[in-house]
Amino acid sequence: MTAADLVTTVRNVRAGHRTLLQILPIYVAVIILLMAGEAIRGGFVSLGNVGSLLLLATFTAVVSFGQGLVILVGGFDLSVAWTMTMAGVFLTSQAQGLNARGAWVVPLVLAAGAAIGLVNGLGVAIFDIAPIVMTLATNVVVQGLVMTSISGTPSGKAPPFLVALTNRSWGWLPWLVVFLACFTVLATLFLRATPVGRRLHVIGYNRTVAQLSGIPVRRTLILAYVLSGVCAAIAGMLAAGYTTTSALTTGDSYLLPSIAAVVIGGASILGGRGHYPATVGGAIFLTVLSAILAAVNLSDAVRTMITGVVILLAVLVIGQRERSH
Amino acid sequence: MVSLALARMRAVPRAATARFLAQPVTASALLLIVACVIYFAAQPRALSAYGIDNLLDEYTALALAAVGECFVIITGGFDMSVGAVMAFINVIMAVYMGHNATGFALLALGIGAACGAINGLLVTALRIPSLIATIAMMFVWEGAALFILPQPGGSVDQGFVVTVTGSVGQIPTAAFILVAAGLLGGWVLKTRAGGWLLAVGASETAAHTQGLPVRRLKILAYLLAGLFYGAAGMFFTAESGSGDPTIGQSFLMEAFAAVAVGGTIFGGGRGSAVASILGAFITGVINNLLQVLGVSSFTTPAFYGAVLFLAVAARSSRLHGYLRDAAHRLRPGSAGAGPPRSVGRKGTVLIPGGGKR
Repeated sequence: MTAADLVTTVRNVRAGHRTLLQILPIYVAVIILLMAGEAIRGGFVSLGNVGSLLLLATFTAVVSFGQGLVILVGGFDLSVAWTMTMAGVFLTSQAQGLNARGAWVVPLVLAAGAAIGLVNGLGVAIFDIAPIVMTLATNVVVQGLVMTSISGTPSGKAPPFLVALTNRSWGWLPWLVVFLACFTVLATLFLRATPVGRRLHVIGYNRTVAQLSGIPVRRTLILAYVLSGVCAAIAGMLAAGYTTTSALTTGDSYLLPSIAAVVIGGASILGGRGHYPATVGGAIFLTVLSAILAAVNLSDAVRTMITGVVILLAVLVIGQRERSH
Repeated sequence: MVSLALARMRAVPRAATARFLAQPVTASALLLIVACVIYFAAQPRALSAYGIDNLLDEYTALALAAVGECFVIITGGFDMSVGAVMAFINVIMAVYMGHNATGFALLALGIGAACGAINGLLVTALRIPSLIATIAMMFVWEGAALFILPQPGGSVDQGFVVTVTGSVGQIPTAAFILVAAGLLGGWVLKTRAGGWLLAVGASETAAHTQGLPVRRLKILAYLLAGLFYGAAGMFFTAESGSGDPTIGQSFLMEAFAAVAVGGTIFGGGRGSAVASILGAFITGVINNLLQVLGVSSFTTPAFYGAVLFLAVAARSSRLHGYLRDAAHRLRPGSAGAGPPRSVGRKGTVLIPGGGKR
């Protein structure tokens, strides 16, 4: 480790700031996809439809923020799946469709998400367990706890204020899309303009340099996992609010999209590089893609296959490739 | 507590026994024996020829999948397509096989190897990160399986089922398959190319600098992995006697768990095919034990996760470091003098071409 390494690290982390070029491609891809949608079915690119597509992308975008943070520091979070399901299930079963109960259930669910993240973070940062194994273990533990506590059947209803947040709209513009916009701005500011955000980048780019520069590496790693747990909990509650009820399969269906959105958005899977606005673009891309495939009269089987091929193509065209030997 | 004992032993210069016990295969074998003793104590009926035959049939497919996954993880990648490839092969056999069992058994291996080769090419020639390439291929094979057989069903030649799940003389066929897989997997990693696979996983840059054909080695790893998924899919077909396009997800998670419990390091550079087989049976025996103890199927995953965590944490060299420090601090005479703060060690030393030391 030399001073030159330190300089390159700092330069690479800072270079990320200047470039809009890394965010643009995914939105170009989204526009191409939208045009394809319009060609396949007229009226696909109407304000109303785009609004509802953005609404649907919000859930993936929120869980992808946490996933993206963990990927940024060189890990994965597989436990977002059951953290999301846990959030939805507890929200509906405890709130029972009442705002008064929702007011104390929501903070509790957020705390539970943070606790799951904390366990992941401790395992990875303190015990040095591979992130994929650690989060896989917590995922099944949470699954077991949730299934046991509800005896396998989710019940209840989301509190009305969450149902309103996720279903109401001003004209064509859903409230949730405004929420997504605010979330994106705040998340980007957090990553780019706060010391913690910069530390996360440096750790992901080169952990040794981070350590030598006096960054509290372990604490920052743990923070990334905690935030991922919280984001998964938020996404789970929003999804439960949107459907009013909760389901056991919610989380699993968002796990792979949460990773895919980050990678399609051009983040490096090895850590250190990534832009949250591009990840949001990745989430929108995946949502539009599945909407188009739903519009075309195809079987589930063919839809799944096309999703796989399009993810490959997207990564090929705009994704970050691995260095090669 | 094996790990605690190990940590104590490491406080003194590491004895040969400690080194022996710390090896993935020995450690996994010990864990498996402990799990089996508890299982057989809780369920004496399982300790019969019939019971053991059942146990082997139940988890051989998982063990084969774990060996395959282990090859990819050793080189520092992930293969998320393991379950989907198995599901694809499973439905092909259940739908098209008829009575041509031998032909389709070979076809299963061929398809598996081809799927693996595609993964390998995506990762090397197109330089797509392994996680995302194999997730995409997972979608493709899962979709293809659903396309061929939308609902669980199909039928499998009875002769094939009897041959694969039956026994030769007194010994179950599954045992032969497992021994063959263990020998093959173990042998591959002992060869020169196998040592190179480990070297690529330990440090791709170093392997490249040493002049190793990194790309071809990676393709080889994915191809071998696919071959084992083919065998796993074939065995699962015989064992279940039908086709099911949705088996992918559960096999994916279980294969990862089996490899991790077997002590293969995620991130590459160290691992064992035999230990992965043992890992599959450790998780399998624990699963059966939980059923015997009457733990509700809702709660089982929580125990499963806890076991996975303990098995991996017990091998964490960072944890051993902490324990070593603690032992050092507690020893009389060393009070006051600050103990050396040990840092987690990173695996074995690798010599390209010479295997691992």
